Amino acid sequence: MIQIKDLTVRFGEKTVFENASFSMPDKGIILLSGVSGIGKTTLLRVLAKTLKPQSGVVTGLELRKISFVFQEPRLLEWRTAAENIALVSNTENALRLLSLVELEEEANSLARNLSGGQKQRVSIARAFAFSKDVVLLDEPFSGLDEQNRRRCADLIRTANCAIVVSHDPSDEALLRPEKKILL
Amino acid sequence: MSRKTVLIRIFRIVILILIYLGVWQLLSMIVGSSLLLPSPVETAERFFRIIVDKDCLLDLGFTFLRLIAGYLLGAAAGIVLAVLTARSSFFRFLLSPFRVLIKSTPVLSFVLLLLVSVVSNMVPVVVAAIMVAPMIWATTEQAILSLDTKLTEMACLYFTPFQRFHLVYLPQMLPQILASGLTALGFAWKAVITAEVLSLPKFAIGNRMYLSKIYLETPDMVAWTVLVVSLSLALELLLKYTTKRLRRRYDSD
Repeated sequence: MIQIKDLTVRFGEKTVFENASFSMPDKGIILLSGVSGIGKTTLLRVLAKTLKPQSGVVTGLELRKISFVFQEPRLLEWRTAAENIALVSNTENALRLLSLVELEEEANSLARNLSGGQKQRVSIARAFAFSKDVVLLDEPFSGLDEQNRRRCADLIRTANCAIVVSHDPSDEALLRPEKKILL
Repeated sequence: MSRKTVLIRIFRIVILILIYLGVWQLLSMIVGSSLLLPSPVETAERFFRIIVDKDCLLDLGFTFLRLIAGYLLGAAAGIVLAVLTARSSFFRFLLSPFRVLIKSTPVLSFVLLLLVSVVSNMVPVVVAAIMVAPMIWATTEQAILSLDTKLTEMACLYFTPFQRFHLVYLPQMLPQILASGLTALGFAWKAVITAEVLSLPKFAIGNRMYLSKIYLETPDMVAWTVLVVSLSLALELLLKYTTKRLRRRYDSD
């Protein structure tokens, strides 16, 4: 189990979490939902340790390798699609994952020349190239068409543990999560 | 680039040089005294006499060494200061008077101060470093402060500290730092020659220029100036070429 105890996160005057405690499974797909601004992305950043909370402890992820699909693709725009993935893994794995998200033809295209949806797919492929152990995904389907949403959902289901933030009800049917948490 | 484009570019440069030489010749004819303004032909004659002189190589070599030493020293100091002030508000506060001091104090004040305490050979090196450091400092600090925070967050998750620097930070900062490095090089040349004229180290272009002025050999002085400008231009072209190659490697435009 992933346990969050007494979590407090503040951004200046704004308090996102105040002594919040909850737990979630450390296997399968967990869907996090809630209204905009409730702290879904903040929670993922705390789990990924890219945001240090004011107080609180996260247990259950100590020895796990975590990857993150951000809301925006956050690619190295001056590198190719394949390089963006190979830099966290290797070329062979990069090409394999690019073919899984139907982007093998764009392997040598610079990231800056890809469309928004293509960038998002590269970002998902990069996360899975880095680690399939714990994958945090923040609105992973934004900007994707139906066919690519399904393709990416198939990839997400291969993770040991995927914590997905979404506000779109159709994502639940697509991902078939083991647990749904409403923040 | 096609052959035709190259030829057109060369032709345009030649025309530009000819126009400037024509204006220079015209002015020297109007002035009518080589003591005040020597003609291009007279200057060219002195120029070739200077460059075949073996002592000239020694002067050139030492001036060049002082320039490179001062430039590298200034650039290194600028980068270290930029990292300190960009990352720490304490250092930003602590070094703010020093920043104002080195930015606004005239070169001459530094030369005169250094002449009292530093060996004359080293004065141009220190003065060049003082000229270069604030430029590199300001640009590098700005480049660090404008790094994309979202990419930095991604990099912290996926890359080692060395990879972060090499793959994420450097490509974002390099264009700004290289552009400022090019400008700083021109200032470093001016600072080194000025400091040499004032501190008169043994082997130095500045020393030769000073002697030309003392003996009223204006054509010699102009010829030395032409030599300095040519060298500065050659070095700038070399740096531009290197910059272009580096930017191609780390292209982040």
